[in-house]
Amino acid sequence: MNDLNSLMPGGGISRRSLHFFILADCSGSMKVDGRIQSLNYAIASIAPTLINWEKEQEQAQIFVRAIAFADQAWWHIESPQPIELLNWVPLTHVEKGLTSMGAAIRMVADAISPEKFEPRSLRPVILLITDGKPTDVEEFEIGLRELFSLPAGKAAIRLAVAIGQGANVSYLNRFINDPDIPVLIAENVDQIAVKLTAATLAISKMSSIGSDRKQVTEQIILPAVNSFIQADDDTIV
Amino acid sequence: MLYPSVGDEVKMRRTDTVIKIESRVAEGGQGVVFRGVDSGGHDLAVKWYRKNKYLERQYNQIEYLTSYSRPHPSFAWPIDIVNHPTIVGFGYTMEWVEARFVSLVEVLKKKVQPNFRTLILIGIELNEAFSALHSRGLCYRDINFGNLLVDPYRGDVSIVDNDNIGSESSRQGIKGTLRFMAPELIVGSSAPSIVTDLYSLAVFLFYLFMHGHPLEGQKVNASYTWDKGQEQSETVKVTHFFGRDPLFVYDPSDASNRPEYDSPVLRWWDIYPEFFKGVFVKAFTTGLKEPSLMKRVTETQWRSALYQLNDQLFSCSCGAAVFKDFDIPNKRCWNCSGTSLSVPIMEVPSGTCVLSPGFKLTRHHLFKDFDYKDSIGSVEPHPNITGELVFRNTSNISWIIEPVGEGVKEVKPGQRMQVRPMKIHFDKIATTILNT
Repeated sequence: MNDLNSLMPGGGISRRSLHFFILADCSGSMKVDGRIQSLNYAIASIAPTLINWEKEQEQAQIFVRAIAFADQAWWHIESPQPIELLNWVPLTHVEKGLTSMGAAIRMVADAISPEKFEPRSLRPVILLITDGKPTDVEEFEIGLRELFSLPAGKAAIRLAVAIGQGANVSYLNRFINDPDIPVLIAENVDQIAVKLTAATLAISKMSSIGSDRKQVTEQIILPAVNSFIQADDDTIV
Repeated sequence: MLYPSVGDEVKMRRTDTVIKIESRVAEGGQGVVFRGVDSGGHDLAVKWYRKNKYLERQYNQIEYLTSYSRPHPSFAWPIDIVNHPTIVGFGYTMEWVEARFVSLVEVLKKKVQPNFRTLILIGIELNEAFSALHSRGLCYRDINFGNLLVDPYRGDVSIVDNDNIGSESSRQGIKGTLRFMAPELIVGSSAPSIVTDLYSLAVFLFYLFMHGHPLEGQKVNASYTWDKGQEQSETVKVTHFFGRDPLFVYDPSDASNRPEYDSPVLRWWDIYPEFFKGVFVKAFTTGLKEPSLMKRVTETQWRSALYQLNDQLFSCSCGAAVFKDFDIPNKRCWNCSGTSLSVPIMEVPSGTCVLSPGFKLTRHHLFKDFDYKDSIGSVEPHPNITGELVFRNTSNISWIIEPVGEGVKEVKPGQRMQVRPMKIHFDKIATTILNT
């Protein structure tokens, strides 16, 4: 039946933008055990997962932005980059740098304010990765207030990956602000990529309209959080 | 360990066949999929379930499905449950889906699109597969882009993730993927069934031919805002626009949700003949609000519409693939905006067909017996004269032809004749070729 070699209309389907913000800690402690290199590696390794996911679904076109923070917060990628064109310039730690997490949150809040944020876009995704706690606690409080006062901030999918034991989970839980979604903890550098992959998978599932966040958490985040406990399930008590 | 590792061996429960895990291929919500090989070197897919509270139910479900033979070759049907010597839990094997099968979305996004004959073949194959499933009283429950894979070159289909299939009466398992879910499922007034599958199938076909979602138009778009005080949660919006108050983008009596100005649907919709668009109108007007087998479009209806669509395809003089629309005589070409030149058409008992390269005359055209497979004749470009066509007799009986202004001739099996105005007799059935 394939013998009619005629011209076809060009392809394409209409999609909504999915803005993905990466908030990455570049404080001095990120130097320890090569955490920052491991983080760069992890981000590079989740990109193909996101590209594949984008290819397979009809709703979302992913755009990535990134904010780095240490003594202050700054745009690492300011203009939204389509995921398939993402060129991740490796982050470097700031020697003795602080953890201006609050400033980073304020920056993302500004970017998703109604005046600046694309109206037809899907709810944004904000992924926070840190090995510490905010050193700008006042800014952190203001940042959270600003974020949660915004429709897009409230609706955002907020996930956090804590690196090592030094990360303060209580701040991250306040950022996530959803008792059903736990912080993903990377006990050591080897786990950064693993946790980021779990986060990515959760993001792709949660971004589908009408998805049940709690169910996604049960299926993807909890197994990742509890993988050590679950591995011992075979033990006879 | 939660999952088998590469190099591990798992064993089929019924036959003790050993499958060696070769590679990990995908991770999804329910578990991990591996590629394995049996002792004969055949590739198989192994899905291993993630530990979860529904594991027992999933086990029973796979056991139930493996007791059935597969309804249609397109289904990558579960073969058997597999166990691992040390890892708790279970998986199941199914046929390995070749790499030529990809997600339809991936295809639709590409600049160069498969030709209409291939799109139609994909549609026909899907309808045949679901018709075979449904006629056994089984429903699929989760039609979506991840599960219905297509070969954009050959027009074949592969239906994966069959672990949610069940009888209509078994009220278990998932409700579906939201944008494919029937309104009555979204509002929760009904459980997944053959009737809800028919809705999802129509959504899939709308994407296949129109490149968009049938309910996502201006009205829905207007609700997407991040302004303070204006926003509604996605759940509220979805329940409203896909469930409680859905409106087809081409609803004939309400134009408020037409495709957005930049939507590809605008262009594709105009290309098709009125009769074909009418099938979608039925699917998404009465079929939207009155869930029943009578009000929704069944596979049989889709199939005959798709065959008819195939019969109306030809090439405009500018080279674009276009459809003859018998309801709009002077329809303009989507590419050159010209009205089509005359094309040879053939009047047969089942209706009117356009003769163009790739057209196949089947038993159904002559006997209306729904046999679309047996080819009686096929149209090819003329080997020597550009722009002319020949009709090859692929049946085993001679045709008697009476070309206008010529004497009676015979076209023997295997022979070709040049297409021109004439009468053709297929035994007792008379047909006519005309130039329009």
